[in-house]
Amino acid sequence: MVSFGIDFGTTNSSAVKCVENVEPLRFGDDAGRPFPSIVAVDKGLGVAESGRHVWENRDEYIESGNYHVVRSVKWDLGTSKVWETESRIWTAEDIAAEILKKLSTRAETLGLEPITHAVVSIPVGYPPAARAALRRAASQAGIGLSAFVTESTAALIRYLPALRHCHHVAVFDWGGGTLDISVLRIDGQRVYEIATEGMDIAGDAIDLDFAKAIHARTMESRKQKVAFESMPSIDRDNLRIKCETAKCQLSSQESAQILLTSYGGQTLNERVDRAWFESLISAHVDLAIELLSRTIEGAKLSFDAINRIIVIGGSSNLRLLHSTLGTDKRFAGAILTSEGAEWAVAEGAAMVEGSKGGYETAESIGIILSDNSFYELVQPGERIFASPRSVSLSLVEDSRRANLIIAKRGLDGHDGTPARILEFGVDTMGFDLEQIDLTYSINNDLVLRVEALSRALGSRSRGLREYDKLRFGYHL
Amino acid sequence: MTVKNGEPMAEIEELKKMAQVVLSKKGRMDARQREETSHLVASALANGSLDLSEILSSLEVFQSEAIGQAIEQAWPTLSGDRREIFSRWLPEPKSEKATRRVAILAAAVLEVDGVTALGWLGRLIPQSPKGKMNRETCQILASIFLGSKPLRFVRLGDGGEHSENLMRVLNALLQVAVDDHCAVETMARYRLVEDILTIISQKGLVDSDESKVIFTRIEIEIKRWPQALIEQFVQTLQRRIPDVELLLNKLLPKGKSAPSTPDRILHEQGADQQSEERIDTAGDKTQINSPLGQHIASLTSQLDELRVLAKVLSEEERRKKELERHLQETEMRESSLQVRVKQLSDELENAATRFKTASIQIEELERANKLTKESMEIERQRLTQQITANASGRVEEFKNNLALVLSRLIRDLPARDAHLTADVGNIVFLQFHQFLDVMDGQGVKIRKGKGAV
Repeated sequence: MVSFGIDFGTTNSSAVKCVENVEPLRFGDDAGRPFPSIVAVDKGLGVAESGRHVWENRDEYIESGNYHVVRSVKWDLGTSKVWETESRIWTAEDIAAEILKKLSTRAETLGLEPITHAVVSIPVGYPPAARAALRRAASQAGIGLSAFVTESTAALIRYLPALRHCHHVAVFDWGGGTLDISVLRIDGQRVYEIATEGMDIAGDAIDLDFAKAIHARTMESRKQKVAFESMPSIDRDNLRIKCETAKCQLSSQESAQILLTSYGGQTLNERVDRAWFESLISAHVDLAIELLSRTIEGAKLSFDAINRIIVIGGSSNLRLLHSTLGTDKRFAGAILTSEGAEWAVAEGAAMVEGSKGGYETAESIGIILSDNSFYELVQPGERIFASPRSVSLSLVEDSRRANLIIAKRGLDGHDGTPARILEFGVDTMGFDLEQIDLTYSINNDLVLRVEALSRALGSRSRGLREYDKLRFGYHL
Repeated sequence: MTVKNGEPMAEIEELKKMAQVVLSKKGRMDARQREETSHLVASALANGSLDLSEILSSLEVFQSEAIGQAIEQAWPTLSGDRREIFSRWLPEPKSEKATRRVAILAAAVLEVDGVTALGWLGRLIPQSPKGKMNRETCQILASIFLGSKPLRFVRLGDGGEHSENLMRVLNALLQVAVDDHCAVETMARYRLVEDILTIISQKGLVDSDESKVIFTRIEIEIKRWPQALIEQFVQTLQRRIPDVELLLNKLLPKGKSAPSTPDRILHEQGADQQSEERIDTAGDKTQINSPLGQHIASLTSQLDELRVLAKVLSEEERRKKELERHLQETEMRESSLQVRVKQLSDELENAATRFKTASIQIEELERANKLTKESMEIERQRLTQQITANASGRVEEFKNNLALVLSRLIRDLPARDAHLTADVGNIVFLQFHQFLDVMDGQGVKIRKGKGAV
């Protein structure tokens, strides 16, 4: 059986194809790296360009004024944002479809078949509208979206064979655009995300800071006071690329040399040793580790309770990160790294598609009745159900409006007072014991959908609400 | 069973083998064996090269009917010597079995050799005129000579033999025919009478002493016949015998040689007394009793017959019950067999269904197997193509990645015709070394000059 997984990332996207008894095939750009999630749309021609060339010359593209440069369409999906050109209007779905098409084409080139179906990874809390838009974009690219899986769960499933004995695992995913940390609990055949945190400081920010620091050193040596942002875009792009290269070199070398034949009209020759570089990025690394610590604490777990910390993402190759985590008593011995860490999420998603697993609710969902009791609608551990269920309620007040309160309770169902998640009202006739029909479902986009109407008034009283922050467990 | 020509000894062996078989079955032979045996014996007898004594020794065990059929076929072909030997082989009629065998063989040769038949019959009949045939002999003669198969008794008069033996035999046969104990059918009696009168007439023995007794018996016999038969009798004799009137005058009342109405017959029957008296005047008082004595004898005879009949009926009743019981058992067995047949039929049907299902499954499996092989081949080709494409793609990726890394180093490389300052030249020079280092790092080993380390 062939299964595909797609990591639709903020900075980079990748796809993986899994075939039984065959090494997974990775699809990114034509250099064998993850595909940059950047798209430049020619304002005149309406033609889109994408790939590493656009990524490495993004400032030039932007400052040319001839292109709409969309750097992270992932977070534009589900919004009304559009990019107008002389020939057509590009929506976020069009941009996302462009990236997904490139991945599918790459799969066809290397694996002889395009991606026709796939599980796509998304961040925890990815908005329902964005999920729906991503599903449509995939369809536009000829890809049937089998299911969504959160990025952290996908990563865990990728490393599951090494985690069978674990009860709690943290996923530390530091990519180009964001750092996402999740703490997951493995309970028999189920995986629950019990805490998630994130920040926007990642590889791109480190490269930018590095470039600015080199710029500052150069200006100082030249005794000039020109701001980095004031430099020509081509010089900025060149310096950032050189700094990114030097960053990679400093993971394995003690020093690196940054050379430019022209930076602000003069040559640039800066030798950077590792200590200086690491002092420059230590704040970022400390922040990342602090976030890890905070996430574990947010999960109400001790550090000892974390059996493994899976470190993935392009920025996880930083030597300073490894040395700091390795010397931190809280995390030493729990770090799990591997080659190809930037492909882990896509591989996990592909494994999800090839498995018979699926999401099930991690929380109890119910409705608060007039006597303030909690009437349970969905039990913890139930598989998601796209076909709506229904329940009939009765109006107990002489009111022309019925107020409905949907609430959830924690993993064990006895976690104190239910937390209200949806509150809305529907018009009624105000009869005593007037019947209110409530239908509810949890669709494949992991969105709770609740709909209510007065039977007396019919569809004109209909009220509809969606909730996308439910917690789910993944049944392996 | 067949006997090949030219293998005389084989026939003897076959006969002996057959005799052994019959002996092992205590003389019992079924119809097929009788048929085969008769053919074999006939063939052997006709084969003049075979020792007849050896053949005859084998015949002892065979049933007389089989030998009779054989001798009927073979007799015309036998030489005088062999006929003589065969005749000598015939047993003395001292036992019922021997009597029966001689009678059967005599009947068998009657058609083809009346003289021999007469001779053999003569052995069965007492030589003395006073001697009486016993009851068994009468029954045997009645069943063999006067049964359902008509025989041509006229052949008995074929030879020029002394009339005494001939008349003795004819008289004996007639005595058997008219004996009520022997229950000979009217038509058989009629044929015998016809043939006897024909022989007597042809031999010119109408006026002989031996004929008188015969005529008396015939006269009594004729009175038992229906008028139509008498008329047929008269007509037949008129055709066969030239001067039949004389003979008819001896048998029928004068002037009534051709009785034509039943009244006449009744009248004649009513005149029994007169007829008896006439017979008495014929001279054989010992053969004719007074009417009362005859009546008593007839009643006694009828009583005996009725007793026999009662016994036979009782036996038949017992056999009937036994047959009914057999029938019931047979019906039960038949019913049981029908159930079993039904079961077997059902099982057969089930087996046929299973066989059909299994055949279909085999066909499906064969089809599936074929499809699997085809899909395996397609999958193998697909995988081969994929591996090739992937390998080519990966090589391409390696080159592209190398190009990407190198292009990052030289993305600010001045144009060929650019004027280089010392600083720019120095940077380009250092970038060139970085270039080489990257190539080295990517596995592309470039031999450098000594100063380039």
